[in-house]
Amino acid sequence: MSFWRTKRAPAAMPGLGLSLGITLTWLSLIALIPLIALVIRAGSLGWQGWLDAVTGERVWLSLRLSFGASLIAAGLDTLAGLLIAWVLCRYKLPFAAFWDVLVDLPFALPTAVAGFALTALWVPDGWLGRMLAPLGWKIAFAEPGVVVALTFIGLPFVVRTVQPVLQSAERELEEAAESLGASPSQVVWRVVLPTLRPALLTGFALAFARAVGEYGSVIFICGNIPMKTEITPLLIVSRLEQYDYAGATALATIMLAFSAAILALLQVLQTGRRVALR
Amino acid sequence: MSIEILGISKNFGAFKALDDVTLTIGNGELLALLGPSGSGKTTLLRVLAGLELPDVGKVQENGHDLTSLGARDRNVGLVFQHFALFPHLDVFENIAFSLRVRNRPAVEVQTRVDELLHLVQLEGLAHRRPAELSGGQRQRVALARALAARPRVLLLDEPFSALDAKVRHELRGWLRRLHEELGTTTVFVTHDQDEAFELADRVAVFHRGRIEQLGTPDEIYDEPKSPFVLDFLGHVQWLEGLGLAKIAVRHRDVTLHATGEDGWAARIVRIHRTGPRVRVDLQLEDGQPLIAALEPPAAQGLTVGQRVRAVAERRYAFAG
Amino acid sequence: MIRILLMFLAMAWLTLMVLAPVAIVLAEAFSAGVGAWWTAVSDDETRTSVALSLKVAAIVVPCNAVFGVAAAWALARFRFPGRGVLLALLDLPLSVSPVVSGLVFVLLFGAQGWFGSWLQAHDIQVIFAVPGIVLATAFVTLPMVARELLPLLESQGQDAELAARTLGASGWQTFWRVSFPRMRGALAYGVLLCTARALGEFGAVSVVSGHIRGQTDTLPLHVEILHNEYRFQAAFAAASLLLLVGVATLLLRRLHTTESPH
Ligand SMILES: Nc1ncnc2c1ncn2[C@@H]1O[C@H](COP(=O)(O)OP(=O)(O)O)[C@@H](O)[C@H]1O
Ligand SMILES: [Mg+2]
Repeated sequence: MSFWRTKRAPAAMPGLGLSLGITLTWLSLIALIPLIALVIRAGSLGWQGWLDAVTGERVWLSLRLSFGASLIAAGLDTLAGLLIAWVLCRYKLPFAAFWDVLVDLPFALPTAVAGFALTALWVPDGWLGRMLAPLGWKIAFAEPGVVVALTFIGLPFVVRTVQPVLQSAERELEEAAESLGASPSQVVWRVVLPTLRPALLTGFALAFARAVGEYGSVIFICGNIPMKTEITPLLIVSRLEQYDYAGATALATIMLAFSAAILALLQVLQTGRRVALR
Repeated sequence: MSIEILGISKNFGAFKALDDVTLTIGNGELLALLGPSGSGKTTLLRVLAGLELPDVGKVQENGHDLTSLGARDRNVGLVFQHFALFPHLDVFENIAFSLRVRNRPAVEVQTRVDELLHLVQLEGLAHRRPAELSGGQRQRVALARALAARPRVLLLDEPFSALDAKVRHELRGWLRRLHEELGTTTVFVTHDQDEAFELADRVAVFHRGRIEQLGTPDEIYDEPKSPFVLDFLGHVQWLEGLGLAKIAVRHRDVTLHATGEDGWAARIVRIHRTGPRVRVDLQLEDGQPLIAALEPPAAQGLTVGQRVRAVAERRYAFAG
Repeated sequence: MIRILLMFLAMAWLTLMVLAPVAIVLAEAFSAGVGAWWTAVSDDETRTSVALSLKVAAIVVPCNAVFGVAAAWALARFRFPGRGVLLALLDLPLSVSPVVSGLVFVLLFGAQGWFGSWLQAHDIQVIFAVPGIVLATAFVTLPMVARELLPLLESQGQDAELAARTLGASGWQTFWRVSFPRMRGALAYGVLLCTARALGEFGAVSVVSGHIRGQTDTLPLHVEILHNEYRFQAAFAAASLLLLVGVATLLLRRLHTTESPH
């Protein structure tokens, strides 16, 4: 290595300094410094203070509801998403383009709008709630309402991660399995699903992550009953409204840590997939 | 104007892509960099173009150091392996690019581009987009684009590899004529020995980031300096235990005789026609295979199973 | 047979779970006729909230667009230490709960926040005011343009830019003449997504806005207020505007994907 070269040629690709400078500045101002401030603020509570703020029955129940409902919702999304992606890729659906656009609507619909549209649908005298009311099933203003809202917003994550894999999957693989004597259900279980597994997992993780943090679409339909239908983000907001900053901050660190963990998991899943492709 | 490459080394991590390469490219010369994939040819081209900084070593032009000049100021015409035409610009604007970024007057741009369109025989296609061109046409646009600013040297990275066989042969001859017409110093990279030998004044054979041999096509073909070069040129058989060292015999240097004491005793295993020659697979007495590539008349009357004497008109042996 | 069953199930799910909520927004919005819809939409408070939403988007989107181009350029065109971390950080604003996104700014600029007393002393209002809404919206939509550009720049490779350099182009010439024209489509689409999200963001904005009527109510917050006041038809009418933005984004996205080969 020569450290003695007097003049260094300029790098062939221009703009590293400028683009990285803009990136780091804006990212720091808008996201990093605020997030670090959150962590520092939580740290200033002390271990005991933090622990006090995140324990207690109301917190526990909200976490259980948030994570439980999100798990169920992400599970439903994975099943429905797989089904929808499969049908969109493999069958000639009437008005296929229409259904395809429909899949993305939960992405595009502001969460508040989704929230009270779903509420209006599932209240006991709503279009859909009416059908379940005679059975004694209550959706809106109860835990199932939370699941419905979270399922709604998570669906596109699964469809849109599975669909490209299904599209690029070689039909020849399935044909080969068939010609080797596999029955249709064996083809599905032994060939199709294993190749889709990383995508399904990624989709599940994305839908789950989104659901745990979701606020707007849930607050209308859940009815905000403390200890019963109160999700964690809602509890954070109600603590803020009572000027309990410490309590809100402590809960927020849990949410933040969870997001970071999911991102790390997704990173692992993606490298896993990249390795598998090679 | 000669280009001197002096002791250039370039590492990627622990990997030596170029290892102390020294080479002088003469004014107006057409030089081929020949070698297997991964041997560092593209890296050397990129160092010449200023796209890659060497770790050690210099690039000079008539004794003037170019190493500290960036790609922008070096005025070197580089034709990328996959052409790298600007997809959003038409043929005319692609060719005009280097003049436009130098703020040349419109009239001059028009004249120069027309001249180049004529040179590469694409007059009618000035307003097509790259996507609407065939591979051979794209290649010629890339060449015209690289020539527009009258570069001090033209660099071509595997210029024909993205083309199909027929176009490849046409363009080869065309490039040779173009070079004779323009006289631009040209370096081109290839892994195809036929291409290198047919086009180049001199050939540099690359192996693991080093120049294994440098010379005219005749010198390299007749006097390969190392087993690698001989092997890379192909159509060669290595034999053991027939003398002191391991020796090599080119297929075309083997002659077959029905009688006599010269050479080695061999049995014909298979005879088949390969293009202009007849290929005869032989087995020597000790079981080693040998191949003879004969002119068709010399193969007449040979039959499978026949016992013959195989004579190597020329053998290659290397020390070490 | 099984195929028809699967197709039916997929369509049924999409109809009940996705189409029905959209349909009910429109049905309720127009339940009292187009006239009533128009009255609700052109109402003063609704108009103020639309104006505020547009104003916030007009500040946030250009900033995030410049950021997006810069970040995509740095991440796709260069390898540098810490690149992986930067890539991961870029995703964080999209995956963190919107409530947390709003909360961080309350902690910084609120009355009890780090800069709270300083801001108060200088009579600057960030939280429960427009600057807070801008910050929260910028946080939530931070990576949206970068996310659109990054895969495109990666897939394009660097050859065109390097070719431009060997042909004598300066850094800016390379960008404006070669890179920018090729990213225009994706950039426009990223800006569109970013705008739609900026207009529709609810959670983060609701935490920092303080819901001051006519002052810090963006359109989604206004929808919530109407809803909480049991003015359902008006709420749905205002929501139909947001729905319109969302559907327009989707349709433009379809155009964008069918038009570009990527
Ligand atoms: N930017 C790079 N980073 C790491 N390794 C590289 C890079 N460019 C080239 N190499 C490695 O250097 C070696 C030589 O590459 P190259 O010059 O492209 O060979 P050739 O053109 O002869 O096929 C290859 O093994 C390649 O993997
Ligand atoms: Mg190469």
